[in-house]
Amino acid sequence: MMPAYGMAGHSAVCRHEEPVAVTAHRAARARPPRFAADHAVDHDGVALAVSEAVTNAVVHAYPDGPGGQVRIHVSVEPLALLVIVSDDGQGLAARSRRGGLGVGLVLIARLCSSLEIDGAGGTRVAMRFSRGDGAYAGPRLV
Amino acid sequence: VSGTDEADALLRGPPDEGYRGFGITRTMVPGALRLKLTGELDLENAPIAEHHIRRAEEEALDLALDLRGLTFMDAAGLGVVIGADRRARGAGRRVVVCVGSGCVRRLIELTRAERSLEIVDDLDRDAPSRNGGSLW
Repeated sequence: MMPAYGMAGHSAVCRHEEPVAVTAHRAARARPPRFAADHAVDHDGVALAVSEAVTNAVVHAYPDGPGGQVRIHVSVEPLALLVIVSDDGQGLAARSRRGGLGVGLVLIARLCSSLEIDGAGGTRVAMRFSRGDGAYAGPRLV
Repeated sequence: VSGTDEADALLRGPPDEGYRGFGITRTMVPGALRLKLTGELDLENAPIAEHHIRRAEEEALDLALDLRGLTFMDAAGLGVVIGADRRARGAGRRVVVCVGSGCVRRLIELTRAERSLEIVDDLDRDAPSRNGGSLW
């Protein structure tokens, strides 16, 4: 079954249904960075952060049962790009430790200028990326 | 003994909107195996990469992971690399990782994974294999 996926304004919804969930995940990740490229935002940083947020939803939100929706909403603010990834899953408190390095949220926090997480009644991750020259100013290997 | 198997062609998917095909190329040298990964290494492709890495481990080979051809890698992909490194250390084998510049290096930097991984800039120059001085 193909994923239910569509764009409404700047929102994307992908329905998480195995085994195509990860395909929907990649498609969803592609949208905000493309949008970001037109608004002087760190394209690669947005791509990585959105990938981590959607990965968390795919892996943790619906561990049992038929799955559910993962939504991505993108909006442009005067000084930032706001990307919200949300699901109706089990929320943060019940999340299991299913694989992974456990660094997804840490990565997101380092990539965006502000981060809000609401894990009650599903999970909502709101990431705000500063609009500027898009240059990466993070740590470097020495 | 050197050669390239068919994995690269088999794993490349058709280009699609927002997609980039993922590929792996195996190149064997005495005592070692180089896996060159291209495209995007994320939650979707991580199991494919892990499959090929574990197959190399069954051959008890030192491993060189050439990630310079990746256009994207996230924590799911990094987990595959770190897992390979940990298993190799436990088995007395060696894993060297070539990240080049760009998104993969950035992920390595953000996660500080360079503290645990053996990262080289040039596989041929910096990572001679242990067997007969042959290069990767």
